[in-house]
Amino acid sequence: MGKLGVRTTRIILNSVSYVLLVGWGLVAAMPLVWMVSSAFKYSREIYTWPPSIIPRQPTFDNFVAAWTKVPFDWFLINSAIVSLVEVTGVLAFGAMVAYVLAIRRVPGRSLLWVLVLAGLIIPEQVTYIPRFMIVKQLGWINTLQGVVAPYFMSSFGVFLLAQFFQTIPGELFDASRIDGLGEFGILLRIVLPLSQPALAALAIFTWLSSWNNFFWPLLVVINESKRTVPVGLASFFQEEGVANIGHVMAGNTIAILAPLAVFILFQRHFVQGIGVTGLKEVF
Amino acid sequence: MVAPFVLFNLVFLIFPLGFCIYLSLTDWTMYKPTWQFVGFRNYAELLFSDEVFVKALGNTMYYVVFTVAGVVLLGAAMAVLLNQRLRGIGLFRTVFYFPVVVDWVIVSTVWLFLLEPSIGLINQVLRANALPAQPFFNSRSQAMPLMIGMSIWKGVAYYAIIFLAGLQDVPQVLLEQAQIDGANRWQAFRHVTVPWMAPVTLLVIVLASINALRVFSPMYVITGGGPVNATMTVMLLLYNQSFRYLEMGYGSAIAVVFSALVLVLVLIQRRILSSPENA
Repeated sequence: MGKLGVRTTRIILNSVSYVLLVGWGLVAAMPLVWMVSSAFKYSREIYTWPPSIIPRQPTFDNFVAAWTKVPFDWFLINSAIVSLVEVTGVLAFGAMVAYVLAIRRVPGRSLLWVLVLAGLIIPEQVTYIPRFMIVKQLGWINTLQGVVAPYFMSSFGVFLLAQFFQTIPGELFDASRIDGLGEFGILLRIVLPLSQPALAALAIFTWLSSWNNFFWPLLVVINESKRTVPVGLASFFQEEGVANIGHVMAGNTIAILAPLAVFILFQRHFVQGIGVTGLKEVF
Repeated sequence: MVAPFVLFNLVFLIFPLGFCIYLSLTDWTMYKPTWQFVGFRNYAELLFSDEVFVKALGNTMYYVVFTVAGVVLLGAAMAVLLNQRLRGIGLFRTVFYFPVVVDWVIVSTVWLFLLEPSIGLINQVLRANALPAQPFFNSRSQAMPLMIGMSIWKGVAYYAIIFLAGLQDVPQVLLEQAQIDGANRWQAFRHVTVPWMAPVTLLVIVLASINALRVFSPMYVITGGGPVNATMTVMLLLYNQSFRYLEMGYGSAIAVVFSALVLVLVLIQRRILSSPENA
């Protein structure tokens, strides 16, 4: 093949690639663009033909309706509290247990490993009914602590951090013991600063899966004011139906802001995180 | 430092596991204060006389097989596409990833809105092109394929990123060596990249199967399992029996059967991950 041939092939290949990239880009984005667009339309415009991406008469009515018909502010606050508490718990206890497993190497740690692996292996579905009964016994039905409780610590978090801690050279700890740092001192001052990529990936994945968790909050929460965003949206949709779909799309638009912002801000960690977590485990 | 975690796992994991298995051998319902031990009656009923469960099991298999096939084939192609040095590739990767980040409940309402049978956008487009409007989620034959299509749309980029990480680990030396040996780009791809990707592909298949088995929200939000149980899955049945009809014993039996399915996949996944080439 001549030089021109190679270049022509490349140009053709690149063009095909761009056509495919733009094609899937549209498929991936169109439903979400339509969602946002409909959120700003009066109901008479939502179903008109030909469709308009930019609303001809933009309105905030749908947002007002979503905000006043249901306590949307509470959905957001509840989700924020639940997801932040879960992230804090998963990181804090994950780091402590991983430290003991990977660095302290205390006797009996193989039993601890078994417990962690059990957490990775046992499917969550088998725990729902007993967890529900426990939370009920504790009087935590219809409370945020009931939503948080089973997710406050995570074996996956321990596993991920322990994997990472094992790569830290041991001499660092011997030196710091000589310097008189206690166990918590070593964890806080030496281990955690060195583990920022793993902590970031774990934090983001925990946050997103907590924010999007639907099944468990659906079981625990009864009152409207205690609902998290997905549960609130699902019931809002069931109340409003297709007739008031603009209200639902406005609710959706509010609801995607936080996950999308987190994704765009921390995109690097997301991709790295799949490298770290996706290849290891997704729970 | 570990005591809280140990206690936590005992309370929220080990005890529930044992208790769920125990409950599955009882006839407990939420309406009754007491329960009786009934042996394997729940399991026998599930597998041999509950038509809805058998239907749900079949639907779940159908959904998992096609969803996984879709995300694996499309995800691999997408990874190859994204692995090129092209201007703006980062932007495309970001946009491709949007459906992964957006919650299932939102995805479900948006697609239901687009696929609304009478005046939804997609049927309007069909009509404008002189094509017949479709019943979509109201149709027994279309509802499940639509669930599958939606799941592929939502999940494919996640698996593409895993494939992409694998592609970027393909040793350049091997590719260069192949070209020195006279292979063209296609041959190098076929004989170096593809075999290198085999373990990653296996992993994606298992991962995607586990995730697909657990999908709940779209069936709950869009169809509630209908029409006529066409989209009833084991997950939804587990929810209905346990938390709507409050048949806790029967629901526990479903949970145990379901978890056995997931467990098999998880154990395969563990095996792949602990094999030497992934260490």
